[in-house]
Amino acid sequence: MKPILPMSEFSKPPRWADRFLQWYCRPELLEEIQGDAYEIYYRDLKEKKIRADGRFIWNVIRFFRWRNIRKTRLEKYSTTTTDMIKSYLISGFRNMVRNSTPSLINIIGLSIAIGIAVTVFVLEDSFYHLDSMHTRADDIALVVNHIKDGDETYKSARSPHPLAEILKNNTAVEKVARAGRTVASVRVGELVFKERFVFADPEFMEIFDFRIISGDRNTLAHKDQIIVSEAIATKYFGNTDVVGQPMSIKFSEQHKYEFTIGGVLEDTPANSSMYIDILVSAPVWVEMNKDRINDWSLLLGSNFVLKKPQAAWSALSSDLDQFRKFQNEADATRPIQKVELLPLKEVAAASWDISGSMSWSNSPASMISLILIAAILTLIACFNYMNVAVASVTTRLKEIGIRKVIGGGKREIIFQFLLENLSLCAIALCVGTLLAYYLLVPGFNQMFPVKIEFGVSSWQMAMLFFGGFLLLVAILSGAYPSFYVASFSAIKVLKGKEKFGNKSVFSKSLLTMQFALSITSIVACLMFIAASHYFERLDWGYKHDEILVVELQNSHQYEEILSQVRLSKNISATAGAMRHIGYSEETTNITYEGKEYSTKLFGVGHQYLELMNIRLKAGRLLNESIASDKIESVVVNEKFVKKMGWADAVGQSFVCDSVKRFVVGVVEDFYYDDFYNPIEPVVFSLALQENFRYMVLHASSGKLLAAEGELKSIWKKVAPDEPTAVSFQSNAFQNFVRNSKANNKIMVFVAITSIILAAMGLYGLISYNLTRRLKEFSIRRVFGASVFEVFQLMSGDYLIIVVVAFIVGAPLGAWMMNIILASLYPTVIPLAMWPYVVAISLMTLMVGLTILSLFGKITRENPTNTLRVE
Amino acid sequence: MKGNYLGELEELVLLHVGILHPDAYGVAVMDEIEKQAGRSLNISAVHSVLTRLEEKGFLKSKMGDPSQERGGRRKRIFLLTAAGKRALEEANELRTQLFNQIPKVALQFRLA
Repeated sequence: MKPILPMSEFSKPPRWADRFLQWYCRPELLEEIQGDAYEIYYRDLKEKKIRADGRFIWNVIRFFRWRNIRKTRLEKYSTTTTDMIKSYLISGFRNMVRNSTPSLINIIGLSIAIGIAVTVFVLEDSFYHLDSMHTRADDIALVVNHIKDGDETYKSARSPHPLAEILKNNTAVEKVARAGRTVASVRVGELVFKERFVFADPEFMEIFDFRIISGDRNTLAHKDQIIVSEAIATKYFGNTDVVGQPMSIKFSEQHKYEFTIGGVLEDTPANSSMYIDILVSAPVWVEMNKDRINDWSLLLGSNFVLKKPQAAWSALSSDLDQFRKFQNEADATRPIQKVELLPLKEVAAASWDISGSMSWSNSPASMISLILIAAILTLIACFNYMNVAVASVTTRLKEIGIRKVIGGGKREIIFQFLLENLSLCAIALCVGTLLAYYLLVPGFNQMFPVKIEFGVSSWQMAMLFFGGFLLLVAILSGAYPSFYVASFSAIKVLKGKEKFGNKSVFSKSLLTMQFALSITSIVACLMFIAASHYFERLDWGYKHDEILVVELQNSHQYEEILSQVRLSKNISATAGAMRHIGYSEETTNITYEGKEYSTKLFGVGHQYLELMNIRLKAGRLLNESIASDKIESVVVNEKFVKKMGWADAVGQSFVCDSVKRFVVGVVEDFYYDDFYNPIEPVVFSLALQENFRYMVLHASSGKLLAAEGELKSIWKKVAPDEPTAVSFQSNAFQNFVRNSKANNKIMVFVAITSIILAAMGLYGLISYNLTRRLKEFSIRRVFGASVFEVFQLMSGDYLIIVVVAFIVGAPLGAWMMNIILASLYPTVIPLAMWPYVVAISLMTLMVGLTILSLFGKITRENPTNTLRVE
Repeated sequence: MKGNYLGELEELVLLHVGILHPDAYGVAVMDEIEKQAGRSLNISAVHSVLTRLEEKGFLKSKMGDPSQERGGRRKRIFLLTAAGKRALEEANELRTQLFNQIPKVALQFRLA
């Protein structure tokens, strides 16, 4: 007898080494090799464990020889396997051709879904990699201030002007550039337009890599020179060869400048988050604001900091603290709590939350919604594929049976079907990418002001996305059918006894899930459309149809226009305003019982509120003929009353601009900004005519267009240097309307796509089931079943599925969309019923039509033909 | 490896398989070589020689009984084949024959 060795927990060789041995060793050699290794190990163990372990590992490594290594199957059966792959592909292809309709349905469905996913990927990828084309992008940061205002904290990209001087002296900083935006009128010869400007330090062009196509890159060092973009050059001069040309610009009445074009900028590339039309040297800006430029409390432009390549951002913290101290001393009401250096690459993604950012922005909600849409559509397409693939097994039972009989194991069959699926998905990926390239991305670009180029940020990203996505879709859609097929018993299949497909609960729940997803997306999309409809019809709180607005440069213009329209039959009333509803408002703090509140302040003229049809709730409106109204009387909105907690507002008082104000009237709440922002407390007070910046005119009924024409011709006489500034009050929320129209288009597109996808999947599924049940239906018909009865038989199941899918899908869609809507709009949108009604009717209609389209097959065909076959 | 040439290590291993008959397996051969010839070999080297010899037809093998110290695994017992025995004899013969041809002087010189 051999001595029995202790087999405790401690006397085992290192697990990883043992595993490694088991992994590489040829199975037929494993027993003796592992046995020898163990024997030596246990012998060594009697001396010292470490030594035994070490020797075991050493032996395992020494055993790692070519002769002992397990050869992969591919090497072992290399010829057979490549032949098999070829055979799989050929039989897959033949099958595809034979069942061309369902295969086409699969490929088209997957292609559409993949196309949308690719588009979303390109959008998101480009959005989250904006601005990375600047060579020093990693060393650039934007100064972002967290400002406390009342109870809230907000982020601002604007900083006081002198900040740059502090930062420039820091040893870690290479350059600092300030930049700010403004709008001004440009005049070249007879052409007069409003353009967007960027004021910038000369360093701006050194920090960023925007390309100059002609002229001097250092143009901004000269106060009297500007840089224009190609688009601007073409707009005013017809070509881009404009260096040395003059351009007159009017920033305001007091600030008119004659500039020479010193350089032409390449049109802003699509991967830049900052759009630049015209660059003006910062000293011009300083000159325009010279009395307050060094005020620490004034937040002016963005500060871009370029650090030295090796320096750390933390080296700036003491300077930033000092800046914070200066600023807080200068303006205690809105102290900066924190100064953040936001890396350039993150600016675009964060801009939705930063006021005054020069980058265009997109809220995370919309970015997440896009991903959600792509995911849902992809899932629908995958379920489609699964359903059709499982149903289509019917035609391949014999093939599977024979493959099994002649030695194909489960693994081989799973491999075969997965491979087929992978190649199908690869085709769909190619088609989908083409679809995205030629149709979807250009379509998206047309709808929105931003331009997305079809491209990826890096090839690694592209590999990761396309490879990962292909694999995901292939496995998601192909795994179940392949395993399902592989589990068939060869004997049953060949004897024709295997039951499959339609009757199974799984297949039905798959279809239900697919329909539920479709309904989810349809309900969600329709709810979004219902919400924008709601806003379209929403009462603005005043009557806006017949009101015209003229934006004035100065109050003389007000008088001039007034004298010309006084006798006009087209205009029934006029009023002036310093701030105008829907166009501009002023934010100010008022003091009531020692507490400060942030409110919107509108300085308006006599009769303005009457003209705008603002509805009076209590008290009276402002009246110029009452002397006290000019100084201290105000009218507030309901929100204001609610915030103060007043029961009876009229007669109450508060302090605004260090004057005690008395409330004489309360008006109903109204929308002064677009619907994305909540209504805040509003104060109206009388403004002097010399401060008027807007003239508001009420057209006589039915004379709106005539009035506009008349005003335009008057404007030409009054201000020949200015572009027309006459607009309809109804267009006040134009941006909002344009935005929601574009969004609606996307939603309609998504809803239609998901219906089409569901319809295609259903069509494929039913056409298979129909072939299978053709005999049954024929027999029924022979025995006298009516066409209608057969139709009922066919559609009964599917209608139940639609109802179940609705019960699951509709609340899910509603819930999702409610979250998105709540993040977009402050207003609670009343629930509309029609999205649900439309969704279920659409789905039912779709099912009915799909069945009907296949129904002809049964009615046309003579039952004898179907029954005689075989 | 052309023909039935027997390498030095192969000959050594083959000899020990004969010595250990009928209990020759990897570890035993390795131990015996260390004991008799004083050469310390790695188990993997012994293994590859054994398999090579089996491929050449000098050895045949069968699986033995499982044992506790091997974690319940079986040994592969190697046995000399007729060809193996002949190869040993031939090598031995060749060696003696050659040895006998060495002039005495050379040997004496060596002894001196």
